[in-house]
Amino acid sequence: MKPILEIKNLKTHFFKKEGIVKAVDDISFHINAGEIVGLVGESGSGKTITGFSIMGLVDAPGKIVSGNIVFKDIDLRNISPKQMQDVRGNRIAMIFQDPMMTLNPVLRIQTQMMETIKAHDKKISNQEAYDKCRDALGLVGISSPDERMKAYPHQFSGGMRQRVSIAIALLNKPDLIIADEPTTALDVTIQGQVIFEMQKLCKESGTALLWVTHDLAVVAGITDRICVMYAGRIIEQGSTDKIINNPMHPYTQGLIKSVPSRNKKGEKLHQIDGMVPAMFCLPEGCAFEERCHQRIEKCKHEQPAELKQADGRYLRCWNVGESHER
Amino acid sequence: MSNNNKHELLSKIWSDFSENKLAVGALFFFIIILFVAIFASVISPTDPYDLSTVTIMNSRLAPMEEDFSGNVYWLGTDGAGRDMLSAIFYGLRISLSVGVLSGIFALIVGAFFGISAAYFGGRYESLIMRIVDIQLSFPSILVALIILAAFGKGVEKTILALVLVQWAYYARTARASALVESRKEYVDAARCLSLGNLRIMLSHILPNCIPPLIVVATLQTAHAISLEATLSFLGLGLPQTEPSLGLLIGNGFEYVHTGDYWISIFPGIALLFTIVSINLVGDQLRDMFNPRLKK
Amino acid sequence: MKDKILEVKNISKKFIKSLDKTTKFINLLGGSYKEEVVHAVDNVSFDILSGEVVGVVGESGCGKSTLGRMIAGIMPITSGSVSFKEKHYAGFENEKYKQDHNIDLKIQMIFQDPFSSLNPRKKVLDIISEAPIYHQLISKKDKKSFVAEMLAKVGLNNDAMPRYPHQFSGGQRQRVGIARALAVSPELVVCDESVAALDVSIQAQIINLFLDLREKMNLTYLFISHDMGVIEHIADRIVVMYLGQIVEIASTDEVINHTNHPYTKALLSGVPTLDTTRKVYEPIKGEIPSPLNPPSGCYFHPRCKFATEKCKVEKPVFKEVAPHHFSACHLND
Repeated sequence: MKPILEIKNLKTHFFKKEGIVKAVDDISFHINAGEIVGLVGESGSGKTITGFSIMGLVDAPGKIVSGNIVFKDIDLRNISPKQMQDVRGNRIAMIFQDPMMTLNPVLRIQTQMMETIKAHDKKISNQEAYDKCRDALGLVGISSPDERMKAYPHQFSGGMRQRVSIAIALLNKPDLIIADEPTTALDVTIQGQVIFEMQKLCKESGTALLWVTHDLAVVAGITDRICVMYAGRIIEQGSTDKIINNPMHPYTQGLIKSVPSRNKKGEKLHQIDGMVPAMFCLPEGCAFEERCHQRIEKCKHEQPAELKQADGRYLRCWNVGESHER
Repeated sequence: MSNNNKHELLSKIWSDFSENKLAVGALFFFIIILFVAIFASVISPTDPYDLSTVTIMNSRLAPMEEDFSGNVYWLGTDGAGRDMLSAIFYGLRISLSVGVLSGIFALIVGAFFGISAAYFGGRYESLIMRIVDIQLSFPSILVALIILAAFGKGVEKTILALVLVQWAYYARTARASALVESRKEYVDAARCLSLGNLRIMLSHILPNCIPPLIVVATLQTAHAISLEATLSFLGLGLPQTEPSLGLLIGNGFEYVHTGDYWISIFPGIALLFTIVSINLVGDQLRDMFNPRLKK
Repeated sequence: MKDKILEVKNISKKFIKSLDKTTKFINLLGGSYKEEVVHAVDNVSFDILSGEVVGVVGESGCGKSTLGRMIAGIMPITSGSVSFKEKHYAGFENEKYKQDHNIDLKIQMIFQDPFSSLNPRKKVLDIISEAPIYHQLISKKDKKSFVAEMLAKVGLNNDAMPRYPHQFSGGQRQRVGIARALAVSPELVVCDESVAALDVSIQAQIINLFLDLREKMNLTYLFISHDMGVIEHIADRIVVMYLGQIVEIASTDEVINHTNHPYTKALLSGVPTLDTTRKVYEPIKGEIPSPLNPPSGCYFHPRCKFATEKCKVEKPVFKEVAPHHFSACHLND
């Protein structure tokens, strides 16, 4: 089965006065049709920039320096802006952490949704477009959609606004949705609802989903596969079950062990000492080396290559795992 | 190690500021003006107010004209025989001092009321801000004229009038800044630690309100200088014994009709350059402190 | 038997948006505009014993932050009282709500946002030493050695002293905030979502620091959070709040294993965890109501699976359902 999105050796760097920030530094992964993939990392790991790179939303001083982004046989790096516009919002949709990045505060929901449909389908009639919008709102669990359509974003709560953003993302039945921390700003019970609904919708419509987040618990419940990012590189990727229940990379192990529910009550939580290195002066070897308890001499001097493991996952570590070249 | 911090900060401010070449030029120019004003008595070719050297025989000499003793007056002389160049240097000193002094006092008064209004809120804040709004709805020249008409002429009275006109601008800016800062958690932390209200306002809130206040101070100083010039031109501001640029322009005005333009025009040009250079510096400072789109 | 260190009795916080003159005029002409009243905290009572960690959990609008701020003394209490070690120190809106100088410093707060909770224009040295010097707990010449001690307690180096907040990461700034609070030797520390803004790996470090300091410095904590996982780990007792009211209080063990209130059940089960085998879970339906317009009867009834007719009209009574386990639900009647 050919993947609908294939990323190979992507590098996105930011050229600032103080130096070059290698926000995304040689990552490769793919998404199959209808799959839900999690992109997990803490702040500064480069996960958000990855999503923006795919959508072509990286502005100066950032630039995609090298690598391939292939979406259904279209090379997204080498198409005209007009062609990219056809893809964006239509075949690939994005949901942001703050729904107000999607929703225009001075437009009614109806106006905005119909605009989204008409931008990509010039021939559709107003009535048809309206019906599509109403159905989309119903899909995401908004009751009395006819009334709600006429409202403005500020009349909705945070959870509702995010649902409207999801509805807008689903309007043109895209092949892929990139969701950047979509539930982080929501209350926990609402978060549960939204995650549940998104999972259901994606499975029902066959839409692939790239869920970008720092929250391991969220990806554990919803994704088929996970990619774990650290300092701009994917250090471990594979099936969710395997990685959560049997993490191999020392960073992934540390992350999972430090979640409170994995620790005995009252005892000190497992912690990863130290901090993420400053993005302006990443070490020449493995970026995690100085915090790692399983480091060897090689880790200091050479960045680990991505190696395939026996169970199908990919791992960047000199010390752990087997050493078959990708 | 704290010196490193200061160096970092200053060099960052400089590199942002120097992006606008015009502003850098204006700053350079202003520094020259400042130098002239401070050292006026040292660098002036003559002391125009030393009655022993001034003689009416030299009156109304054109620029670069020689007098009977062979002295060349670069910018000519005025009706009483005073060297224009020297008069302008001394005038700059007076204009700048009045402008800057009134600015400093207005800043202190305005910042005090603005910050305390934002911090305490309630009826106190409403009262202060209503007074500010009412005052700002009148043209500043009108307010100054009313105050001077009530109190009379003189250096102190002019400075008082300028302070009373300007404090409202400072108060409004200070309050806007202080409102934002008061809601931040470090102010909550300070209250939790039971630091007194005065200490919180002075030591925590005020330092964080300084950037916009600096911008207002720069632009307001230019405004104060020009306001004082207007008042003195009209004969209402400074007395003849303290001839600011405005007064010089005023005094020289009657000679413009007879063709002795230099007595009025040159002080006017000096005033123009002073105000424009301060404004350009202030504009650049304001742009630097505005949140900008990423380049 | 541990002593009571804090007694919270029936405290409430009302935010009233009164009518302006125009609206009052319209009312005279026959309009019916009402004042908007938000009961951010509604008649809350509980105790904290010396040395324990009491966790307060709830979502937006539940009033936990407002509660924390009232206890820390930085928000006036509308009605009710807070007593610290038997010294009654809080009363109604117009009264001075801290009568004894020493009490002020005994209850301190750690804030949520590491970026706005430190004054950007002060050096770490001054941030930490300002309050002790102001209250004459230390002398100016001891400033540096005192701050060095504090920094060591929170795991920072002396080279942090001359630096400014923007030069530190989120986790390090939280440590400075903790040092600042500890500098005045508090006994009760209110942590208001103190780890919510931190990355998971840093969160673990800071939580460990809290547990460490509790032992070393004999502290009592009121730990406010929306994250049940963190609260489960760190708290001895849990207070669950919804829309300004307490719906359940019990020891952590009781709340987790013998959950009583339906909202608590929803918080525990309707939330994603690392347990991937449970890919299907049942989130509760409905939106969190606005505090401006709370539902009638039991506030939770519109979202409650077990709601009955009684729940729609009558407010449930907060009562003991098991030893030291209190809950407010009609299902217990």
